[in-house]
Amino acid sequence: MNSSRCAACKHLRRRCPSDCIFSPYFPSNDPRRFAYVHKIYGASNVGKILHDLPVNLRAEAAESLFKEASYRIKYPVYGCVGQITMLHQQIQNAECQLARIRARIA
Amino acid sequence: MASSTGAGGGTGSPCGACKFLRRKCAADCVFAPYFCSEQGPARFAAIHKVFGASNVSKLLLHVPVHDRCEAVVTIAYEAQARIRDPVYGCVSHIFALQQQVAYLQAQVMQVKAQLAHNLINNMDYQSSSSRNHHNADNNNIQWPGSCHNNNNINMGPAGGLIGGLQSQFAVQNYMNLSNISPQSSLDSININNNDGINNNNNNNSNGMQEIQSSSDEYVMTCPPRHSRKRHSQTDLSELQALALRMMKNENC
Repeated sequence: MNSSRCAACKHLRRRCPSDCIFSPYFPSNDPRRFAYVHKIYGASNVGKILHDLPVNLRAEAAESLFKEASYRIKYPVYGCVGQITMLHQQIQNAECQLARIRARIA
Repeated sequence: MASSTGAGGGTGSPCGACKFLRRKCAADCVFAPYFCSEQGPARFAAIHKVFGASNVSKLLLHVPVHDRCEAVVTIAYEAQARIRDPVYGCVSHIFALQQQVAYLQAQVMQVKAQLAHNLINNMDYQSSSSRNHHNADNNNIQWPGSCHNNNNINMGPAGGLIGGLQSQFAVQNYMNLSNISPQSSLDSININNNDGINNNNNNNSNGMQEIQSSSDEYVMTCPPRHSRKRHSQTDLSELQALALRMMKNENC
């Protein structure tokens, strides 16, 4: 039994091969990371996404998948889009405030 | 009769999702209301590729029925974003917006500092001229701009600031004015500021920003002119001393 299975293989209760595609990006010390992406995307889809990318971009992809999954779990209806909407509102508020203050200076 | 939004139910054509999956569309198909048989397959293709039909079905079942339409829209958006950008998906959009927010907030702080700087310069002028008036007649001190709409800074912002400070002290206690330090007065007139400018290490500009913020609030509620005549000479001199200490801190 391989005692250093990655979080993905631990979650999937399988042996962790030496060329496991998940192991560099889902270490065993953070099981929540894989649990989130597995819940939203599924292990198969995550594996396909990572497999189709160059190796040097897979870490970023895994991170962004985790972030998206986190948003979706936290906000089941809106997910990331809720965050985008909120940021648009913040931008609008900041622009209004900027215009107001500049008008006072002028 | 099949609706324009969903065509499931088993009697008519399958919904877009079931058409894509090439399966029988059940009467209670969870996808049917949101994927029409015409354009649904194309929309569902992206969702299926990124999330998988089973995962999306579970997501929708955990969402109240009246929210599922919006959930489908956002899931479709995320799926399209992930197909366009397999590395970052829609997270890149979030990063870009966060940077824009940070940039704008920095600009807001910058212009507020500029406004505060202008007010300090005006206050310097006003305090020197008010000192001359004070020595002449203590009971007839004019407070220009203090009861005017503070939207027009040119109408004596320094007077408005001192008037604002005065009104704040009037609310607290005139007898305690001798114990007021610049920092405590700044603390006492600090109001909620959504910009989070309190992280500024420059205490002076931060203090002036807070005073400016407070003056926006307090100038409109300054006491009427007749009540000012009841202010003792000690109170007025304390206010002026406070203004002078703030200016000295600026120069240090």
